[in-house]
This record gives sequence, C-alpha cells and structure tokens, in this order.
Amino acid sequence: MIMGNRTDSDIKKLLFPLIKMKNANISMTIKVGEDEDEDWEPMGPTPMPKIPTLRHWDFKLLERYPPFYMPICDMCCLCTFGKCDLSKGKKGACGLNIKAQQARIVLIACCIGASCHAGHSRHLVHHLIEVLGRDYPINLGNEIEVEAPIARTVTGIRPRTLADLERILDYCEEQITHLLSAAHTGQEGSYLDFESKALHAGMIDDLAREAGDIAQIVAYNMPKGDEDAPLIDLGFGCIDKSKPVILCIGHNVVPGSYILEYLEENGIEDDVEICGICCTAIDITRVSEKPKVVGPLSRQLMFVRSGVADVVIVDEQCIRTDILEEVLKTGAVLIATNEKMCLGLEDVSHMSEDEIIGYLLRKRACLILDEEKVGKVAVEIAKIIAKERKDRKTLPDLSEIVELAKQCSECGWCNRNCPNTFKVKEAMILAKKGNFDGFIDLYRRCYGCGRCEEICQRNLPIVSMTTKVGEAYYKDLKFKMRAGRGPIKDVEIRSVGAPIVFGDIPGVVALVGCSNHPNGEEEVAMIAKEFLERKYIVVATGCAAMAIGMWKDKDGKTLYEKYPGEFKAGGLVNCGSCLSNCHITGAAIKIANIFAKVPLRGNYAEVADYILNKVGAVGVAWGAMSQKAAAIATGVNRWGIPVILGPHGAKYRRLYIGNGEKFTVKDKRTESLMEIEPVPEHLIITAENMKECICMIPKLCMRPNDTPKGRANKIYHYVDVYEKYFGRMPPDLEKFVRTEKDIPFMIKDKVMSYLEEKGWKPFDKYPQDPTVLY
Amino acid sequence: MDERFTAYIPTAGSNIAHAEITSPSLVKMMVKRAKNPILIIGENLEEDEKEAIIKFGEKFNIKMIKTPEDVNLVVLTKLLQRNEHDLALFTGITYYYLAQTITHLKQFSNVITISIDKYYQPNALYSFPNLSKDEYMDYLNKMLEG
Repeated sequence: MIMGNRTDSDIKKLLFPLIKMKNANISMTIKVGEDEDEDWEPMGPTPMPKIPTLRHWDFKLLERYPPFYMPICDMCCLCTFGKCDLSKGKKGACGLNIKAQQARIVLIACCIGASCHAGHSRHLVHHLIEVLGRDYPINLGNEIEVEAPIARTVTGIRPRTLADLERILDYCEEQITHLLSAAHTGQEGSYLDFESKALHAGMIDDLAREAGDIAQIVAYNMPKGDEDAPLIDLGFGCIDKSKPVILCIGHNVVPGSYILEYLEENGIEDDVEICGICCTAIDITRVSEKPKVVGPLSRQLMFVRSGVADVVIVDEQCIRTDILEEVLKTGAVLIATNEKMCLGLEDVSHMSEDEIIGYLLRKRACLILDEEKVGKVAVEIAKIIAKERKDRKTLPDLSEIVELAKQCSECGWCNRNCPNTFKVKEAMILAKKGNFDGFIDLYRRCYGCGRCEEICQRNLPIVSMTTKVGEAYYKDLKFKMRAGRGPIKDVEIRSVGAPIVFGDIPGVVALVGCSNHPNGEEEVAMIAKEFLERKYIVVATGCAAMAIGMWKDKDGKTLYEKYPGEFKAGGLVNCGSCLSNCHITGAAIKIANIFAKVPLRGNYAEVADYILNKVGAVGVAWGAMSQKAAAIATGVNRWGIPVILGPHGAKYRRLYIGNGEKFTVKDKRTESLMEIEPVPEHLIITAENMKECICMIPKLCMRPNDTPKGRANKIYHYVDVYEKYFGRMPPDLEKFVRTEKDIPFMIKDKVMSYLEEKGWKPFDKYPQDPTVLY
Repeated sequence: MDERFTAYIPTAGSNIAHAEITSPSLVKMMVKRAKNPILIIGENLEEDEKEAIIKFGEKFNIKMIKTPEDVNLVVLTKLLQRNEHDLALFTGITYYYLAQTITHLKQFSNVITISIDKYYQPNALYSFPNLSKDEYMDYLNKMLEG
C-alpha cells in the first residue's frame, strides 16, 4: 500500500529534529510502498527518466533523421524584445535562430498536447479515486498480464491500483513543468536539444494517455482487449430525432457516464437518445452499447447546426470554442462540465439538480463542475426542451437554399478562404439554378470549419446550407463501427510477434489523428481498405476510427463489418479514443517483451531500439490537426515508429527525414558496425495525397531485421501499390533490395531488369541482429 | 475578378519577405541564365496546362521531376538544399502544401524558387500573380514564345 503525501509529511516530522543536529550523518532506507522492491523484473537503467536521461537515444534518432524545418513565419513573437526577424540566418534579440525557434514551437506544441492528455488523465484518476478509492485494483483480465507496457518501460512501475496511476501522473506533471520551462526566453539554445525535449514530451504524453485509459477501462468496465467488442451505430442517420437528444462533445467520459447511469437507474434508457462527437463518443460507447456516435470532430458544426440535439454537453478538448453561440442559435441548452472549458458561464455546481434545471430553463446554459449532477440535469432538461423545440426548424429548406444562393455575389472569397480550396463558389452558382450537385460534393469532403462563412460578404450560412443538402441527398447516413476494444491481448502478441518481427506479416498500419483531411473522411477508409486486403494489421483510434466506419462497400457493409476486430493479419482493430493510442505503442512494446523477452522495467532505449529495428509498424495521421496529435506523433517517434502525416501536417513545421543514404548499425551477433539500407527511411514525413500515402506505407514498414522472405513480402506490396497508383515501378526500389533473395518470386523478372537498369549491386552482408545502441 | 482568387494563405502576412511578382519573359530570362535549373511538376494541372509546361521544360532543356510520383516533395526540397540546382520552378502542387514546404528553401538555401502556378505563392522568391485560367494559359504560351 502506498501512502503518498501522508508518508512524505510523516517522514519530514521524523527527520526534522535530526536534520537540525549538527554534523549528524543520517543513512537510512525508506520503503515507500511495496512496488519498489518487488522483484517482478530487475530495474533497468532509466526508470523515471528526466529530460537528459534519454538524450543519448534521442541524439541517435536525430543523427539518422535530422529535423527538417518549414517555418510558418519568419519571426519570433514570444517576448517583448521582439518581434524579431529570424529570416535567412538572422538571430533574435535573445540570440535564438530560426531552427531553434521552430524546434521551440514544436516543443511547446508537444507540451500542450502532453498536458492536455495528462490533465485529462489526472481528472479521470482524481475523480475515480474519489469515487472508488485509492486501492481500487487495476485488473485487465487474465489475458493481459503486461497491463501497462509504457508505464513499465518508462517509469519502472507496474501499476496495481489507481493510486499507482496517480504516482505515474505526478511524474508526468513534473516532467511537463521542466519541459515547458525550457521554452522560456533565454533557456535552451540548441535545436537538437529542443527536439530531444519534444521527444521527451511526446513520451510523457504516451505515458499519461496510458494512465488515463487504464483508469477508465477498469473503472467503467470498458472492453479489456475484447476483439468482439460490439458494433455500434455511427452517423447522422442513426440518431432517433423523435426522442429527446443529448449530444456529448469532447474527450472526457465522466459526465456522459453519469447520464448513462441516471438513465439506467430510472429504467428510461430507451426514452432518451444519447450521442457523441469526437472521443467522448467513442468512450461512452465503450461504457454502454446504447449511445450512438454522430461522427468525428469534422461533423461538429454541421450536427449542432442541424438542431437535432436538445442538450449539448461539452467536456474538454477539440470542441469548437464558439459552441455556446452555435448551440443557443438552435434553441438547445448547453452544459459545460470541465474547468478547462468554462465558456464564461456561471458555475451552478452548488445548486441542487432541480434548481439547476430551473436555472437552465431561464438562462439556457451553465457550468456544472460536479459531474454527478449532470446525469439527472441533462436527462430531465432534455425531456423538457425536446417538447419545447419539437417543431423548431434550424436549417433552411432546399427552396430557401436556392434563394440564399441567389444572394451570392460570386466574389470567390469562400474558395479563397477554404483551407482546402474547395469549390464553394461553384456550388453556390449551381444552387442558384436549383442544382445541388456542388453542395452534395462539398458535404462529402468538407470538415465544417466554417471559414467560408466567416469571410462571406453576404453572410450566407454556407455550413448550414451544406448540412441541409447533405441531409436531403444522403439518405444512407447510418454506419457501423466497432466499439473501442482497449489493449491488445498478450496471446495475440504471442501469435503475431514472430511474423511481424521477421516480416511475414507485411506491417502494422495505425490510422490515428484528427479530421483535417485534404479530401474528406473517405480517404482514411480507402487507406484502411487497401491494407486490410493486403493482410496488414490495421489499427485505429479516435476520429480516424470513425472515418473508417463512414464508408460502405457495394453491399452496404462497412470495413468493421467485413474484417475481424482481432490483432492479426487482415484484422481491423479499433482501440478506442485518443487516449487509447497508448495501446498501439503498447502493442509494439509488448512484441519486444512477450515475443523477444526484452525486459521492460526502466529500459526505454533498449525497447525503442528493438522496435526501430524489428517491429514493422507505421502510424498514419492523415488529418492530424491538434497539438495533441503533434505530441502523439512525436511520442510514437521516440519509440522508433515512423509516422506519415497528411499534407496539412506540413504546418507542424518540423519533420524527421532520412538523408536517403545508407544507415549504420551494429550487428549484435558479430559486434561489428555495418552499413545497411535506409529502413525505416523517415521518422515523420508528409504525403501530398492519398496515393502517395498508400505507396509510402509498405516502404516505411520495412525493417533491417526482415528475413529475406519477409522483405520480399514487403517489396511485393511496395511494387504492387506503386504500380496500382502510379502505373510504374517505385523509383527508389533499388535502395531496399539487399540480395536477390529479397526479390519476390512472382515479380522477379520485372524487378531484376529494373535493378539492372539502376546498376544495383547486392549487399555482401547484412546484420542478423541490428542495433543502433553502440 | 473572381477567378483570380483561387487560393489564400493568411500567414503570409506575418512574414518579412514575400515573393516578387514575375512575368513569363522574366522567368524565361532567369531560366536561360541558370546553370542547372529544375522544374517540379505536381499532379494538380489540367491537361492543356501540363502540356504547355512540359513543352516549356523541353524547350529550355530543364530537368523535370514529377511529384509525388518520382519523389516526395519534402524529400526533394531537402535535396534541393544541397545547391546542386540554382533555380527551381514549381507548378501543380497542392497550394498550401507547397506554400509550407517551400519556406524551407527560403530560409535554408540559396536556390532561386519560382512558382509558375496560376496563383500567387508568397513563400517562393518569385511568383506569378493570381491569374484566371485564360490569363494563365496566356502566360504559359508566352513562355513558349521566342
């Protein structure tokens, strides 16, 4: 049992008189909790790493994948010395140059992301300890013995109770404070060290997510690695508008779970419709099968404008900051439930539930920081408001859209202000004649940011018009997605560990991230489909997991209905919300541990080195938008897993790109250094369009440890996708063929003649057990 | 006027240096003077535009690279930083993606970058202004003259 703060204060009381004794020499061992001396695994070299502890590992990565900067701005505007012009090699008043400035911004972004997840996890753990107690056990079932691979590797702690998760979060918060302080004026001066700190922040982000997701899995009895997690309803069309509708937006399951609890206690589950957008949506469907997922973050403004929701509950992260204004326009009621998003509303937490309902009927919005009260308030107010709003119309009719379109002056600023330069003006011109084809196309691809509306000189409600057309013309907006299953089971790792490490399973593709897609949700589903058909393991979380569900084949089936939810070749695994991204890195870590017996405890660099060299996984964040996505990707990179971003990802300003030259590794078998092919070629890189992304995936799944058969398998897919999407052989194939044995038998002639043209020479030797730790 | 407003990058306003507007004849002169120019062609061109661009590349004997087919744009940008090419012309690349990527060359290389797309690209050193489709074809034809 860990005593936490009480132990600290007791020890101080005990020591204080002794410390005052002159020349006293005190030597003692203080046992804090039982975990420290428990012999579950010998402690590795880097438990609870501080900022410089893993710097040597970061520098290994940064040497191979030097940071590539694309400054979004020439200047630094962070302190009152400035603005300082940093363009073309100039330094700012504090001495910082543009490379270090870009790296600093990336560090700040990663700290924002890490603190968002740590804050979220802290809220969950804190709340659950209040409700369930510090000793509430962490038990993920018999099939998951390595319950927290990230925590084990990073901190050396094997969490057994909620209190252990609290200790882990204490560590995270301490590290975030140090990291963020390094971004202050006049601190760190080297871009490489800023990058090392950003990588550290990414790792902390990963750890904090794991603590949060484990806490919610055990407390809310969410699926514990269940490959048959239920198929749940997804999409605008699955919401029953005849019932009072409560919409939850954000990332925190706590208020949503109280709503579910209240409905269940009163036996009225079927009387009220609960739905969600963004990660809360996924997480409440992990608690119960009843709630429905409206869609990813990109559908937020559209759905709120549709006026279907009677009550909107917002918690934290990824919520439109003008949500209050938008909700009030529809006559619905808004309840904010989190200290991080108070929206200027009055805190009514001290009132009774009935008083709050009265208050809401008068004021239409409030802040309730006692989530337990949200359950009754949300349900009861929804019943009242639904009656009141029964015949309320919030979107224009199709005929009204024609009239609105006629007001358009065709200035074209909508197109110009659209982040994706979609053809809004052209849709408007067609709509003037009653032709909605333009708006239909827009509905399919638009992510509803509303920038077109903001700049419209005629104040036309373009998002509302798009939503109405979508509602009218897309009859089939009902989809299915698999509820988040949580971690990967140890037994699954045992069966796929060897084929992944030796390359027989061509790769693991993790589709994660936000909705900032260049061409709508469908592309994410198309990427998933391509690799499921090729028997890759496809893993998904968050908004990307929803996007995968929003596509159907000709038989009306989604990919979740067509492919099993198992972590195996050809499996489509939805781990859960953004927090659940930890299970993807967790799976890679478990492969090192369960399959290869690499010790985890406080042994970060060795585990990451194993993953970098042997686990053929790649992350795809096709619509990455937030600082959380920046932190997630950077955290994934520190584990040695490459990431592909969509074109908007270039605005993160920094990539880690290989030089296209050979890499050096040490062969642990022969203890000799040798040059190898550049695999994985990059650590984080952008792709301009979907076909480029698809062609990059098989390449970034290659690892130095691939057996000839495994490499041949990977090369086969690389050549095949390149021919499918570009109609030619990959232009850099010769870099990845080590010997003739690496050439797939089916296409041997073709590949050989290509290689001869390129003047390819086989490698004399390649490592049997590669490592970069030398 | 509307057709000219095909793209917009608000962040350009916070930058010190913006691209100078150039003309087809100036581009031709720069290409002629360059020792080792390169033409980077994306996939977002219409057929007639692509045809004219390729003719232009052939006429001036410029090395042509297709992105992303031949190479990833960012990887190519990194290669351009090595100063093997003194002049790089860009066209047909997703607008905001090029706008962001090309800032690398603006800050960290001496390569002269020219956008010969039909919209203004502030982060290049030289760019055509925002052009309508007809104006753009007119520009491309002028580049083929003489």
